[in-house]
Amino acid sequence: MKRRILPALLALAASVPPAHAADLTIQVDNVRSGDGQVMVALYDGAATFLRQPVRSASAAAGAGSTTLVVRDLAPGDYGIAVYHDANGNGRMDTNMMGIPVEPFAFGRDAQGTMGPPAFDAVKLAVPSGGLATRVTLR
Amino acid sequence: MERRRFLEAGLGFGALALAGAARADAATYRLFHAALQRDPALSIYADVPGAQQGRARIEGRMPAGLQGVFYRNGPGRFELNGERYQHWFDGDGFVQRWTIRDSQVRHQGRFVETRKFLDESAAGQFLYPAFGTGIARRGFRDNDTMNAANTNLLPFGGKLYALWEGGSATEIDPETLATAGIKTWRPDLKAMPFSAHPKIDTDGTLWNFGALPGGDRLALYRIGRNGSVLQAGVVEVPKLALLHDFALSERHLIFVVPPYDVQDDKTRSLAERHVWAGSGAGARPTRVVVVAKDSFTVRRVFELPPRMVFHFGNAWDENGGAVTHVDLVLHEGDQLAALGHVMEGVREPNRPAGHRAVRVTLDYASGRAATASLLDGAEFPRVMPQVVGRRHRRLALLSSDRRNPALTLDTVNVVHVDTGKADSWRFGPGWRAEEHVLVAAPGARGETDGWLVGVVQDTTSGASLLSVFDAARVNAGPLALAHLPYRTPHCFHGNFLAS
Repeated sequence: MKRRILPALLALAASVPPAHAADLTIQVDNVRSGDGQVMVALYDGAATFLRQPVRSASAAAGAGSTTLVVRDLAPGDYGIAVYHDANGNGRMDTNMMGIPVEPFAFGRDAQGTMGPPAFDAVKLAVPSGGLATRVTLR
Repeated sequence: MERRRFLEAGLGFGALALAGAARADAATYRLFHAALQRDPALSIYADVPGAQQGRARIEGRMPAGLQGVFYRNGPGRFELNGERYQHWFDGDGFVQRWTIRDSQVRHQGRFVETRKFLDESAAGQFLYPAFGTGIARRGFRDNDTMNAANTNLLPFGGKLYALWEGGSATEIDPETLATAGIKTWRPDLKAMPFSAHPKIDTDGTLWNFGALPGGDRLALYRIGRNGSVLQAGVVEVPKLALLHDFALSERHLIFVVPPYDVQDDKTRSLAERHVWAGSGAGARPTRVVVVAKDSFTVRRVFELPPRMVFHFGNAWDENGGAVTHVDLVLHEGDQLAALGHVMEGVREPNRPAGHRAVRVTLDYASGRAATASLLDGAEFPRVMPQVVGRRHRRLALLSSDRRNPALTLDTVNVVHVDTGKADSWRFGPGWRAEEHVLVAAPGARGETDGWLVGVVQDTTSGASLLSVFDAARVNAGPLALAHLPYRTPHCFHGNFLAS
């Protein structure tokens, strides 16, 4: 059962920020090198979690810690998924069995049991005043 | 756009997916400790508290030519916080070295400091799923988070590796047995399953496989003595179940896939989800899958009557590769589940016909697999290192004497596979043999020119011994026994590194 993410990035880039928009600041810890990029995707519900993000962002990786800001979010619940695209090939690499070989993290540092955690375990309420959070790559 | 595949975490993990809720196995704990009161011989399935170090008292004469280190591994911790694992394969790895030098024997042992061992020790309770116990108190990254590093200890290319089968090898310091960490042979092979039964070919390269039960991908590896990956790939084999071991011949890698359905029930452990499919109306055969070494492709699939397999002795090709002979141990019925019972202190009845060493002859032209019996009641087959993948004439095995009421591997054997004649020695009551390996004498000319070396548990005194036999005269009894003043954890597998 492969989960595909369909971000429709072009459509998102053209979208208009809603009123009372909030900023979400994500500090990504345990970045093992300054190689490549740290990638973030936000999801707004269980049905689209790890399938269709509502927003995504990336930043050049900084060894140790990298901070990304996603601006102008509508207040609400968001599930965060992060990975370190250390080799900069634009995808999360997996081994021959499909197990990720690049470091990843989820909101609230939630972890699954041989698979990703559920949306409810990773979601964070982003209020109109914005939110700052941290995740740790593993 | 590759970014669309952003975060496929979990892809392919389904085969090992496990329950959200922790299992209560306090009942297993109570049952075992009640049984241990009645039957002290069950102590071989009890915990050891921590690191061990000691000097052995030698009885008999240690052969002057036998010098080196016998590396061994097996589960040493089954219990935490009043809970006990439900399967023998679940315990945390405890690695050991028996050093034989100038006829003296020293022993060292310590736990492998896996992520699992360290996290669970700190928490004071089990956190992660084990093969036969569906604990999931804490989320985790991948299969290496639950890596117990408990099945084998392999010296290779100057390094030492504690092996599990559902994840990576763990590198161990060969002198101190301190844990160096997870071994990733190549970045794209991170967290790949790497079986506990690699084989060293006559050219010194290492062959191994990895599989996730319930999946259909069999990973294959060939690694050079310097640790470089010479070949890695995947072959598709449908309906894989637990694959524990394999054999190699000059041209082939031989796998045996037992008939299990691996259910997707995430509330149960991986062992419990293995449902035997070798009996009843829809019974499936056991499959022998032969892979060509040069191309990593399936050459032919043979069928055997439904049997479970753990261990292979050796394989060799005949007639330019038209025929392959494989010596292995076939078990009748669902032996995987039976191995869980000892955790509750329930001993298996002795059924010598239920697990026998056999020669399977595979004929590629006809597709026929013929089976001939070698030794009943057997397990833990090994051959001399110099004949791996080549024609062998001797097979070392343990067996349970047919007079034993319960399954007790109390006998060591070297079987002449061409005649079927076994050269055997039975240890006394209350003694239990662990795997014995064949060690070549310096400049050995034949397969009996050397020693049969293993560990024995004397449950009457609660102490462990190293035993050494003349490989040509096992029935004369041990040449030497090296008695430790304490009990070591019962190991699964080990390897001798001559100095």
